[in-house]
Amino acid sequence: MVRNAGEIAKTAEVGPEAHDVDDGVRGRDGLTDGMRDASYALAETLFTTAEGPPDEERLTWLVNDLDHFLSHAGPRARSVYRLCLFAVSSLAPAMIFKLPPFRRLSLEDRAHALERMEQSPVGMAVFGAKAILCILWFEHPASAREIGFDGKCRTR
Amino acid sequence: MSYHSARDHVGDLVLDCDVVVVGSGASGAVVATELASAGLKVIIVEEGPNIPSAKLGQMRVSESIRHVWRDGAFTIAIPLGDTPAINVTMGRGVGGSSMLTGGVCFRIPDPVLDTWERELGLVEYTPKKMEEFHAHVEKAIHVEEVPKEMRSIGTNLFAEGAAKIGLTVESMRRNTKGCNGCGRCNFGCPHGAKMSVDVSYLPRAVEKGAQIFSHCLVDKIVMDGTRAVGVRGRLLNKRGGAPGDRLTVHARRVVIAAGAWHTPLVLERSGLGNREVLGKNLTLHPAFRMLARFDQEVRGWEGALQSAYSRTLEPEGITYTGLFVPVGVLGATMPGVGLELAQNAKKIGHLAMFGGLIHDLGGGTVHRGLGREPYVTYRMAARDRAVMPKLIRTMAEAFFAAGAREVFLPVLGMRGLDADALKQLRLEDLPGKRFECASQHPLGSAQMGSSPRRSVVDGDGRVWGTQGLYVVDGSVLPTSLGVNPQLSIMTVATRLAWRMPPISAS
Repeated sequence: MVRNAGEIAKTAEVGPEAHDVDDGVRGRDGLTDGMRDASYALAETLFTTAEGPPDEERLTWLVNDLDHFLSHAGPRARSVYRLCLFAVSSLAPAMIFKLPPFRRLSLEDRAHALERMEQSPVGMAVFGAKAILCILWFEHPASAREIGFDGKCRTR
Repeated sequence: MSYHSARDHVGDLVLDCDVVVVGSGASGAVVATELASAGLKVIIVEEGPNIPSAKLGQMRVSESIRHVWRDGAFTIAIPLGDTPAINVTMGRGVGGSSMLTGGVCFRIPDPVLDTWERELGLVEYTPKKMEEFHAHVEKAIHVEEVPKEMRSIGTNLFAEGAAKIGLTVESMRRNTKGCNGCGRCNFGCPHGAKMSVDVSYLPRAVEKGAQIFSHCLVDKIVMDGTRAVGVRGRLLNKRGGAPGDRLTVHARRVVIAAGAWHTPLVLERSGLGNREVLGKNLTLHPAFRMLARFDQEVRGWEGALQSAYSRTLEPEGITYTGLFVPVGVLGATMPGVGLELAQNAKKIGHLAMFGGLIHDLGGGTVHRGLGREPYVTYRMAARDRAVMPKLIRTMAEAFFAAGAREVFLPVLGMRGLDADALKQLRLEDLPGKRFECASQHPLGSAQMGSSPRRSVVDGDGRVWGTQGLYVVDGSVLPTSLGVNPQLSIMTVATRLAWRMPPISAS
């Protein structure tokens, strides 16, 4: 699904909420509207399964949590993520001889482009963006269930 | 009240004390506790937040990362030459990086101490002389051997395979009390079983009168001639946690414990430290993980996060240590997109994991950046680069010897390999930048030594040419250790604290 800047709702609450920590960053966005859209498109590509793309609500929760993450993690985290996202948005389409931006490609083309880029010498950029999206995605109880993670401890 | 947040403070803050300690991690907490116990008025200033361990233990993994991991774990050592980009993780909060460890405790290896004594003239750092400091810290943080029944199935599989290819695997020691094996020590223990310094040391310091100020950023050391008389900085009390009002701490002794990443910058901004050496000699213990898929269910998250190690290949500069990472991180390291990623993610319950680190020769430099954060470059030494493929291949071979079906190498974008494919692969031919590499052990950027020309601090941690100014953190360790450095840093810090000349309590 092609989305325009700022179109993604910022209110979906279908995943775990974050604990409150007083570090003064409340109300400050970690993502610009453009980054939200690009992150949504990247996440939709990464987490599409045989059943199709994930629910919009789940993806919106993910983007909101990413926003919260980058707000609190500090300026360097935001810069590095922004750099990785920019590299994916602008370089991945070139991997399949298409024009950027990445988010305007079809889902199938996006997947193909990302796969190519992941194997390329600039694969580090994919890894950087994918890493944080995966960490957040698999924390969602439904995602954890899907991969069989129950978080049990080994008590003596 | 002894825990203060500068976020709550309005206006400039001026404090007076006997000793100001900059940084509340493994070394700062130790020195502060020892000096407070000696009756001195101690103030600890910490840049990050104060998140009680009980709260940290309830957080999701990513919440821990966003709040107490520096830069949200996005810190990179910029690679020079044929070197991988290295993701360096550090703590930023009351308790510092000790909150992020798996609890692994190794004493400083005897051969390392021998090198310090013989080649660097640090004659007080012999195994015999360090014994009492090691023992003191081990008691304070409750170091115990991880029982074999607390090992995860993944660790047992590695141990089984390692034995078949000639590696000896031993049980680790960790600073835990009542571990339930939840496999998430790095992100906060849900049961408060990890004895990181925010649990073991800092409460003792506070009991002895020390005060801890979080959200305080130290810019400079204040000098009166050659004598350190305090520090200056900012309170992080503006919107967004940005620097706001001024912080001034007047002290009769200044102890810097900001870690190997930031200590050189604090000294440099203050015009202190031997410029020929300061910020150089940074070692990282570049580390690599190996994932292996088995037919059987492994559930690698069930068990102590780190419970066993092998130092059979230490003569070649390789140490293997058991570990597991959260499933989200595992997902990130699995290759593929969409359906392929989903299929790989479903293997997570069948994955075993182990890690290996290089006892590196150095090659890192901390540079002053445009803002207050440094940028760090790292050029892997030729010997370390040469040993990297062996480190990785041996882990894979151990897992195959234990019956693994496929392995996922720490190579960006590389799909799973079976045993035959591994044999065909010439890891040596891959460029360094294709490798996924991490570090949790930055050391050595303000090294100690016996010569002011070749070191930043003397054997007692005092910055050469100054009075009342000490560096006590991992940056003083003059070489890498080849093992996880938490206990070593605390041991050296204890020695430095005990060796500081007495000052009368105010």
